[in-house]
Amino acid sequence: MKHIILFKTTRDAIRAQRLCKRNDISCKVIPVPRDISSECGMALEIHNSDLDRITEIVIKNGISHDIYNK
Amino acid sequence: MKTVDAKGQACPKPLIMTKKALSEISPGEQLSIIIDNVTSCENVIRFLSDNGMKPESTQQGDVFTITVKKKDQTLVQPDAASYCTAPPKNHIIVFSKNKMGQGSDELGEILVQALINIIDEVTPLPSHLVFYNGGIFLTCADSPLVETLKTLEKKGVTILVCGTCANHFEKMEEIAVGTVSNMYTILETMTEAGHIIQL
Repeated sequence: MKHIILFKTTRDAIRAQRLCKRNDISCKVIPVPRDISSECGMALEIHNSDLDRITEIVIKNGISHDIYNK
Repeated sequence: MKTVDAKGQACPKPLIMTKKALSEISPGEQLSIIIDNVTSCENVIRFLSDNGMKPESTQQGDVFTITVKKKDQTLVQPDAASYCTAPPKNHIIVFSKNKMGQGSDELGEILVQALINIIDEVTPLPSHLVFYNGGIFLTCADSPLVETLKTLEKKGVTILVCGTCANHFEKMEEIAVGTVSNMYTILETMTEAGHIIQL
């Protein structure tokens, strides 16, 4: 299963992606899926197994986010 | 052998006559169709091919004769008249840089990733993705898009990477997906494409 992380701003999405890269966690940049929001935005798709680590990292860096199951 | 004489008939008539004749013969039996305009001839051939048959055509002056052996009793693509319109042509996406749009480079980088990551969610798939100049960085081993691009390749999308560009950036060894190609193939691909999406 995969999870999708949503952010308040695209800048936050960019920051979160960089943090993933720095911590060697694979993530996929995708547009926010249509069934979640019709607004244009960027999200990260991650593997289920990485969810805890990523959540910890983004919280530590003060990035507010929402998590959706895919 | 049954013969359909569709001379003087415009589309969709030759298609409808062919379909009717097919319904009147048994699998394995031969059918020949005589047509005097190239468009109808191509459409009938496409209709027969899509239904799993192997039509052969000969031309004498302006007259084409298609011969074909009937395959099955029922047609996979029974809507003969729909073959009147030309098939949709392929589209390709050309990446001339490793970003999408202008204004902010960091934004452009994630936009292009998001776009490539959803290519397989939009149908039809492009026939080719072409990468040149700074676009080749998207195909290098350290690109986050390598796996996605490999998946697209498996689904039949041809990925062309400009060899001159890879050399110029000294990245030849790092190209991790696609076929390193040259200007002839890239120009031919763009020339033959029905539609080009240029990024």
